[in-house]
Amino acid sequence: MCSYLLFAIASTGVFTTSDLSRVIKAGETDVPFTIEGTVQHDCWTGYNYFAIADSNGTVILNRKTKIPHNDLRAGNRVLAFGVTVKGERRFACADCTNVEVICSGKAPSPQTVCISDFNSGAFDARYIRLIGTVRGVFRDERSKGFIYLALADTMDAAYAAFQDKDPESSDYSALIGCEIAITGLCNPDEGGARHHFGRMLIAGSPSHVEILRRRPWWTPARFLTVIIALILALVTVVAWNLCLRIQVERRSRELLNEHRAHVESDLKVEERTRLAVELHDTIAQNLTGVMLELNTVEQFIEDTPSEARPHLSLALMTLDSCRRDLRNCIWDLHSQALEEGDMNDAIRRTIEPHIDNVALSIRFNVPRNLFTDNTAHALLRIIRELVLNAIRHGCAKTIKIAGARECDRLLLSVQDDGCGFNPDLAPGVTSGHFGLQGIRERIKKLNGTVEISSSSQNGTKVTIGFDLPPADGGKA
Amino acid sequence: MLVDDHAIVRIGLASILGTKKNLKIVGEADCGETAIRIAPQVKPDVILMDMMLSGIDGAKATAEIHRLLPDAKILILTSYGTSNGIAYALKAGASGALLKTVQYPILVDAIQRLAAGEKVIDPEISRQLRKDPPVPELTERQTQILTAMMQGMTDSDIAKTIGLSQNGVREHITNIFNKLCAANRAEAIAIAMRKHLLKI
Repeated sequence: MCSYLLFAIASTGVFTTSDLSRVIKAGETDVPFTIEGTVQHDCWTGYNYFAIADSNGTVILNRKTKIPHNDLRAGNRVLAFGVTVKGERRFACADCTNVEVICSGKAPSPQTVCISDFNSGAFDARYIRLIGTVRGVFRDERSKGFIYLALADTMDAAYAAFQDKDPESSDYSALIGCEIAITGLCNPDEGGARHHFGRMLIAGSPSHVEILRRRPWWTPARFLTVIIALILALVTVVAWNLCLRIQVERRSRELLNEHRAHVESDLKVEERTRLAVELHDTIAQNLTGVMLELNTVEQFIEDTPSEARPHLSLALMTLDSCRRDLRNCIWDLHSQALEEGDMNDAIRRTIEPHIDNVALSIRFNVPRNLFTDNTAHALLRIIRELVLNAIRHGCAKTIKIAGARECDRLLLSVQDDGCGFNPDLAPGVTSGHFGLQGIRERIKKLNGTVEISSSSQNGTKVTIGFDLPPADGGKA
Repeated sequence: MLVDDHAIVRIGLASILGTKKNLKIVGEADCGETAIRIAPQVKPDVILMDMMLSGIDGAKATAEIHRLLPDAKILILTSYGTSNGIAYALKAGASGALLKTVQYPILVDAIQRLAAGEKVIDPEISRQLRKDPPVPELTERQTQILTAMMQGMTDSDIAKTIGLSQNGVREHITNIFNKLCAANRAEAIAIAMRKHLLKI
């Protein structure tokens, strides 16, 4: 078979690429050959293999160093002379010892090949452009300067390698995830044999690697990192929020308790003040008066008892007034009238215990929150005194109580259908009638005015007026 | 002359003092304004002056009457020995101060001693004045704000009511605290109550 082949070749003088491939595969060594074909690529600097193609196929030859690079330009039509050799070679076992350029031509375009086709063997020893996504980059410690790329597409996987004279200066790991096209020689010898990953493409230099598409920024690792970061941030925010809420709730409880304590304290102070003023203005003064009257009685009692009598009467009546004031104070302490939110209810609650068969009409159209407790209490005491006067002294059957606000002034009127009286001739304190005087004293403290109109036909009408605080002022 | 806002006290004083031949009631007033108005008319030798009056209080009325009638002797008659106003009244020209609970003979004696040019101060009052010295006098605005505080108003309520800014009100409150040496509202109100600084 071999001798027949050699004969055939010798008879023609020139090998075809397929002839030479067969000789190499058959392991025939020291067979001189001449082959005519087109150089497939510029001869790589520092790397001595090159592909030459004719109409039958492609063969890879080992360039001996004496052959100038210019002769092995891509597209050159050449006659290559050489001899087959024995030995472990990465590619072909055919040394090209000389080249004769027939003509130059256009550099052939390498065929673009997918990984599955590349692995099929159909492109062995061909100069091709392989497309794939870089899955890994590593270096072979045995052959310095070689960078290996693990390539894959959706169907298959393969290797590609290229030489970098200064491999430390570049970070090829950035290629991982990129879709690339790498142009080089498909290694016919090592496909699937030495590399379980697939066949290997040998390229000349980094310049033969073309990045088609950069790796997407959203790698699974990044995606996971971002998700974890977001979850951590969310957890932190939720935890922080929870802490804040707990702190706010605790502080709110403290503030509420403090506020309650203050309100209670303020209410106590206010109530005690009101009570102190009430006792001072009524019972204490009346008792002082009683004491003075009794001192007077003491002065007269022995020598002129008749002069002592009116003072004794006044002392007794004042004491009676004291007793009533004290009863009112105690009643006020029990009464919830001041707690009523509506003045109509407060008035009704205050006077209802004192009236029997009297028709009562209450129309008090001023909000309770416009009055302080002191003012409201004074108003209720005045109204009670007027109602009691109307019933006791006027024998009234109907009593109308009205309150209105006019130009920031409160107008209170208490009108009855009783028998009336002459205000100018009304008995005063000296006669033991303290009611009207008490009302006048309370009104004076409110800086108010009091008008009394009375007749036997129309009964009595008492009108009281005093300035209110501004509309939104006062104690809410 | 008698100055007291409670008629029953004026009547009682008039009754008991009327039993003394050498004493004559020349006038009565139920408030500071009336007292200031009628005092120059009736020209009393001695004025019995209550401290807690509506409108112009006893201390201010004392100062004014003393200015108008330097020779009139003013005897403060008060329900409280701790009233801050007593110190002012004494400084403003009052010649004496007695509690309203005073026994009748002591009162008569005091009036006569005052008329003779002496000073009469109830031992209880002088003890209180020594033990609890008067606090600096509050301005009218401060009194107004303290009264509002006691009525439970908030800063904003007070500001609206008296037509000041909230900051202005807070500044006044700080000054009140400083004057009364109070740490908070409750304490300020308590001190003001004890010293009878407020008109209620």
